[in-house]
Amino acid sequence: MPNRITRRSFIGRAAAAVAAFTIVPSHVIAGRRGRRPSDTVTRAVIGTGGMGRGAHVTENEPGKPPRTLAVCDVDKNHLGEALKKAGDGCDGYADFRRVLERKDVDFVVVATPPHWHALISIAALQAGKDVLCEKPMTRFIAEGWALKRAVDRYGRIFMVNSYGRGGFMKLRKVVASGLLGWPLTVRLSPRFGCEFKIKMWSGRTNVKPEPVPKELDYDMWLGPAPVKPYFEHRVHASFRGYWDYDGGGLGDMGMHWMDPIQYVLGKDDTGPVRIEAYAPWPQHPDAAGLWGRVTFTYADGCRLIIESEEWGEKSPENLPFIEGPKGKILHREETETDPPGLFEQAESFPVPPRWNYIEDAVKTRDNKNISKPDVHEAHRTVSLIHLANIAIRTGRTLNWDPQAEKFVGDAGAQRFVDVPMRAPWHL
Amino acid sequence: MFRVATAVIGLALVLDAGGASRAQTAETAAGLIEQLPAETEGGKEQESVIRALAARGAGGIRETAALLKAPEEGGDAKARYALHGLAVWHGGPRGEAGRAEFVRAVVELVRETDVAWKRAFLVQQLAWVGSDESVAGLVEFVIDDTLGDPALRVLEAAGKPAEKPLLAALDKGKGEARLAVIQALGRIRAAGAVAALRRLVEEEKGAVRLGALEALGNIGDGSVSGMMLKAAAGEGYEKAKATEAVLVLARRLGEAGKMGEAAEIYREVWKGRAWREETHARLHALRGMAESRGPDAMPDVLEAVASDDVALSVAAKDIAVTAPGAEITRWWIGRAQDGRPSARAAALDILKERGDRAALAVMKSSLSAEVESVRLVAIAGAGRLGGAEAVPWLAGLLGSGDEATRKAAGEALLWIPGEAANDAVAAELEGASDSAREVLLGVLGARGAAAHRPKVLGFVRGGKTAGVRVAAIKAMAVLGAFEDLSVMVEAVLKRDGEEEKNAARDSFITISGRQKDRDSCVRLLREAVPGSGVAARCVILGGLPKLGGDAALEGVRREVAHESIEVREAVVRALAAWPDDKPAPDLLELAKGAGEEKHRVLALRGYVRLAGVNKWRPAEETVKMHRAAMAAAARAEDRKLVLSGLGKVGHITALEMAEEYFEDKETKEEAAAAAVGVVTGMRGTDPAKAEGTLKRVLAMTGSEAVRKKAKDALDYLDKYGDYITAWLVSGPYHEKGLDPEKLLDHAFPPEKEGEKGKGWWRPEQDPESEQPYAIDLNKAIWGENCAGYLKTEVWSPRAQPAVLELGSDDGIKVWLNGVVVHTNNAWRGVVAGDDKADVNLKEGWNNLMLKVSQGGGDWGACARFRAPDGGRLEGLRVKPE
Repeated sequence: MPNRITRRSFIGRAAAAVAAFTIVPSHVIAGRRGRRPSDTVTRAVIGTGGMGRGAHVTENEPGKPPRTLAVCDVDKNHLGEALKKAGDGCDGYADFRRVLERKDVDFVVVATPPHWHALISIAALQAGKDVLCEKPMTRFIAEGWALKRAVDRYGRIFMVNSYGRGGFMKLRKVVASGLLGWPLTVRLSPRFGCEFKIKMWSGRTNVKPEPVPKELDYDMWLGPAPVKPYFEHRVHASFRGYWDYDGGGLGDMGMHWMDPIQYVLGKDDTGPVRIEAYAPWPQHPDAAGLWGRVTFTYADGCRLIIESEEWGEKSPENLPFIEGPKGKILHREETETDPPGLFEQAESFPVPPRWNYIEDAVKTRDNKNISKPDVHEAHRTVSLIHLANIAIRTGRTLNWDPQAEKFVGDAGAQRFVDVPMRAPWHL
Repeated sequence: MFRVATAVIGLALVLDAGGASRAQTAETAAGLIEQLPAETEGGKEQESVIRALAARGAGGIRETAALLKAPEEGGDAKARYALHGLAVWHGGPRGEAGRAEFVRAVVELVRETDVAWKRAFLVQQLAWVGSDESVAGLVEFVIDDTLGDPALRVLEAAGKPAEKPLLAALDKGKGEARLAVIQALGRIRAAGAVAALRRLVEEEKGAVRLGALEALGNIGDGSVSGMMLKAAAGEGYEKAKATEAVLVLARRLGEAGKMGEAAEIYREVWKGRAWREETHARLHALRGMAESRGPDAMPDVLEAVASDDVALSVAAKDIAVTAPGAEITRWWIGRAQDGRPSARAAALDILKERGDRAALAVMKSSLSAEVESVRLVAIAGAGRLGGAEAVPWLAGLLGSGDEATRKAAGEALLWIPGEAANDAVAAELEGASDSAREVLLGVLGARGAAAHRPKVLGFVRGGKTAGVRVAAIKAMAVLGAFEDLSVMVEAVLKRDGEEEKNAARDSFITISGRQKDRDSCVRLLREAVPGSGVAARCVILGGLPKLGGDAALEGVRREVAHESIEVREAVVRALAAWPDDKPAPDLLELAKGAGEEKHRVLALRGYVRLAGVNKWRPAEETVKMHRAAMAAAARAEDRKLVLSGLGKVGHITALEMAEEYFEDKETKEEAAAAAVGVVTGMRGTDPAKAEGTLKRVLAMTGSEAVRKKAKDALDYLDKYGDYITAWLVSGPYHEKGLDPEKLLDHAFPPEKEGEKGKGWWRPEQDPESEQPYAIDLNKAIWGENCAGYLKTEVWSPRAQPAVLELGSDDGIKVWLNGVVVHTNNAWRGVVAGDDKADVNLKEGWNNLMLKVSQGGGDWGACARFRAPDGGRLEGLRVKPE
């Protein structure tokens, strides 16, 4: 079966994780100059809006070493709330560059809007920090190239905080065991529990400029994005609806839903060769709009079809979640199969576990066995988001070379791959 | 929706998205544009508007641009759709002539107007389509505060032709505009800008100096390497960026084939940076050294691999593994053949991970190394790098006298991919010793070598030793199909050894687990019982609990009065091991009336076990089962056993039962331990009662272990006692097509009168979790894009005002006595006390229900009642029923 993870490669992945320990334990276990398992792993959270404050700023416990040492935001209100939550032992910053200069911070959480994700992550890696980056990892594909290079070359730990892959091991077993045959078609849509929230995260097109609130450093908020007049809907949460900062509903939910599928299909080192969008066109230059369906076709014939069910004609209701020539998985969160019992049959099929969270990885330096996608996996997944949005924005069916990461015969589409940034920010 | 323009003068024939022809008529561009959406809800057919506009050429562009309005005025979304649509349209593979015409027209418009916002929007559109022809028209704008950024984007897209104009603009700009020009020169890798940029590094400070360094790094001119290395010695953020700049310079030099110059930079950073504090920069340099110096860098890599700096060591191994090139493989092969054993083992390990088959020979030659660490990694390496040809080498080690060697060889055989390796393993069976055969059969099973199933089956039937037959039987657990079940039954019935019989039974069960028709499998096994001897009968009975179900249980019950004492014991053991509590009545009867004391004891143990397996059974019923067990317990040991089981039931009636045995000299310690266990399981349902019992335990127990647990439980109560941790949970509930943000407003069965929904049950609480006061709904009922419900009863000694303190991940809605008292459709993690709601508790029992929405990731909630002044509310009890 073409392009599936071979027995050697999937076992090899597990062994790579184990192999790392053939050298590591003497440091870790003996506690020479390595980090002891009991050491507190410290963090700084950059971007303290929704996810930053809610999910990443920890409450420092009195009498114990603080875990959150620094919080940073360009909105003074957000910063104040984050400092209140973290409690004693945490300092506040308005400029992420000063946070990165702290030598006592082990890892940085990047929870800003996505147009800052790559820049801050790369700067953190260059400063020697490990990174937990919120999804989507990047805003355009070339950012992923730079980010991968920084992670690899500086030897840091990096993972993306999407829902992760831990819950999909059983599905991976069924697919990798070949019980469904090959190639497969996978569908993600609200019928399978996958909302893309495209109406919620559509931008607005006729909003008049408003005064910038005094608590917000709007220029720093914009950062690498072009200067455009401020209005409230442009920032904070609803920023997702504007191309300069995110990618609409796909940017919000795409990594959650599609990353496990990349893993399940064994596509972590490749991407589709053809992207076809069923969406209205033209799309607005500033505000992300609606779409109905995007079909990704891989070189081996596998297809991933994502559907919003919020625009245009819907697909028939009775289609299965995953379909192959030998079998089907009917639903995304259940184990009903046709023929029945495929999950049970595949139970003993060897698939390496994915369990390390960021703090484990920081301690052990094991960047492979993590529950969330690493930089290479996340790049391939977030590329699906970008490819889909480029197909939607250009209104064209696109041919993509997943190895060279270039569009075939479409220089215009290629311009969406590497977008210049506003000075002084650049990749 | 598509709308036909009212006035018709011109006619353009265009094709719609489906390829059908459509006559698109309009008087003016404005007429066409009117068909576009004002917001983002457009339709597929609107593509034809852009086609028609494109057909109008430069005139259409001008007409469209005339419709743009100032942002303060607004209302020009349609014109913006149209101009952007035209830019993207012409950027596509539709012909150079149209693209160039669009660019020329827009550049002219930019130059004609002096309205900043209009020029900015137009230049932004050129970024999607502009090329060389834009340079001359836009270069004057690159130092403009408003237009500089978008104009530079266009010029950068043009590349080399923009170099001279940009260089000319360098000294004209100020502030960020000048910095933007510097960066653009870097991005287009303007070789002619090196001298000017070098001057900026020498004369300027701050962002301009750093920008010049970064630009120089990307241009990749080696003449500035010394200066850049020196400049990268600052502090903080600037130092990190300047270091990256010089490392980028090295990479660019390497890409240009100037490996020596690149290597020199990398080596300076590798040697010059602070040990440990700048491990990341050193690692970057080390990787660069590996790329630019190839094998010559490997001694440094080896030094790093052997370092006691974990971050350096692990990442250095990754460099050794991933650095490309046959020469590097050869270098590590050299290390694997020479030097200290630890270095040899490390080198072999790296070669194993590199996956280069060139190292297979050194793996082969090291298979018999005297030092175990070398030998074992070579064996693993042979498995990782080898194909079918490595099978005989590894199979040959299966006869080794060293257990670790045999084990490693067996594991290595699993790694070799492909059907040819399966064939080679099967071929090795022929001449192998019996002990080697056992491993090879196991390997065939683990490899899932279905093509060799008949051969393995042959060893089940005709293997000369029990060991070989058992290995074959175990392999069949993986390879076997329904038609092989009879062979497994035959082995159970006819083989003498217990191990072989048990293995055959277990394989039978595993194969059955893969069958659609489980009952047919159970029948096969059950029907074998009448014709079997005592030993086989016992083995079969031992397997029936693993199959479970009514048919299997019936099979066990049929044997309850068998004449053989061994069979009767097997019956009791089978019932006691049953996966559900259906045989509980059988076991209670046997505990009371079985002929042999041993059977009565086994039955009682089994009964107590089954009392604990059904989480859906009400806790009072479970306590009643323990009372029945206590009545059947004849000896003190048996009563202790019952109390041990009772300690797992977190209910007030269990606490009362445990306390009844506090005065029993023989069982009081077990009763005390049970009481502490019950309190832990009660999770704050009645803190006052729990506290009283724990103090009694501390006063009467002589066991240090029990005393410690009781103290811990008291501490826990003190700290988290008023958080409600005793809940019933129901869910997850999904609604297709509903945004997660709307889940709180959508009524699922638990909030509808008379609807049962998914039922309610009590989840386990983990007192060791980071938030022991909160319930983790992912552990209880995992889900995404869904809602879950929690409910409990709270007893208040009087009617009183209270504050309900809440935390939730994500949103929360709260009902108290059927009335919604709080809603927060939040998107957050659990933070205790994030929300506070003023409520009134009535005297007696109050029904509290929480609904917690879930998008994805973590999911949970916490709640407690406090007095209006923030103090503790005394006398509350919680009953999750």
